[in-house]
Amino acid sequence: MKNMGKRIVAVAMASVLAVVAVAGSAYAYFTDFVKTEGQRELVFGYSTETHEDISDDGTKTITISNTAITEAMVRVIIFGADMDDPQGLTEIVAGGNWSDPKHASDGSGYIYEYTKVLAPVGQEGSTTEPLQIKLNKPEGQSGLEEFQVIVIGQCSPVAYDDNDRPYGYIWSN
Amino acid sequence: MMDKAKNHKLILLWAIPLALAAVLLTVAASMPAQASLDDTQATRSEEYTADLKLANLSVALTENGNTRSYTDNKTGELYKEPLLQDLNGGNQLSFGKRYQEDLAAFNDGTQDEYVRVVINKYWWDPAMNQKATQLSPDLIELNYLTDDWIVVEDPASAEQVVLYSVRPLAPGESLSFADTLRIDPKALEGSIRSLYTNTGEESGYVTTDYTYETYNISLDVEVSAVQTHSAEDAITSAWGIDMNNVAGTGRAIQKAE
Repeated sequence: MKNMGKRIVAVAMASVLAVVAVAGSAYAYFTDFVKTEGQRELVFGYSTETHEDISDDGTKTITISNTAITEAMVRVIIFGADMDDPQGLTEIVAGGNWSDPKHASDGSGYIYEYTKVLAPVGQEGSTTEPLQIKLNKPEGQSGLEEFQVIVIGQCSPVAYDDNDRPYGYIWSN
Repeated sequence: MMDKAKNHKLILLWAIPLALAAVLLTVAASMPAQASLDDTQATRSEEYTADLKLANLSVALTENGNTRSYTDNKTGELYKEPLLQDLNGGNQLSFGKRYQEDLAAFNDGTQDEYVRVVINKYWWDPAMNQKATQLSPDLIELNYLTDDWIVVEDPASAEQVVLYSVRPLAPGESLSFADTLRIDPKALEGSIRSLYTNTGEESGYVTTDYTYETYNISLDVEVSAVQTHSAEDAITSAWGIDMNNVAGTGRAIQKAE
């Protein structure tokens, strides 16, 4: 009986040795990993202020300033002037980055878009170039009716298209 | 009498081989010394010093060339810095614009390695201190470099994407897996709200409530590396994929040369 026990132990040890000897591939692999994360806040607070200055000769000068910390696109809708003025007493001068006028979709007023992005408040480029409504005073003409020129300034979040060109998101959708 | 004789025989059966082995070992151990003493023509080999460098498998994550996460190879400690802080130079982000966000895996070890990247992108509610799972992760877009990486998107998980390098990285090599980040302008969807005065008349301006307002964009990135020796088994064991057809994409990871 004692001999049988010893034989079993000897066979077991020989088996273990044989398995270790023929074990070719490793069963543990070298690995490593690293990890990190991050967040950014998005600010949606868009706001601008429309300024109208009227000079002695009746010229109205319009500018729009960004009052928020985010970029913005702006435009003005003008009622009762230039092409919208049946008496022909007014003329709109919009040079620089102001677009050509587009008739509003509901048929009233003309829209002038500012094609350049307004920088956040306090930065260079946070105010538009001036857009002027000039008053043509015909000499000696009678029968003129009172008229009113209405200016509405609008702002929109800036969105960029696939070519990285900016546009006003609100009035493009 | 018979038992005593038998025991004696058994003892001799063990003792003789043991004694013989002891003698042989003693002789073998003394032989080199004996040989050097006897042979006056023996030469001594020159002394050589050798630096032993153990191969080290290690990987790091960089963002726009700056290390954001790595393992200290001496202490094993993981170091990390937050992502996205330098996006647009720290200024407010606009929608639709592609911002530079060069994310890369860097082999800072001493042996070649295969790399896998797991990215989770989602919206975070800082007020509730939790993920805003009702908002779409698809609006946070990373541009993946698919020439060098196999991209696997999980249809069951909109926020997670896994990328596998198509080839091993050599020590000191960096391989970018994304180069820009963009927030889809659809995140600007909202409802216009007019402001009323106390008398009930419309005030002079109109405001808009935005669905994604007050939420942060969030990015989690994990980079893991595995050895190139026994690559097929190592990758299957570590990542659970077949390198010859990664996650059913039909694309394969190149075997190391």
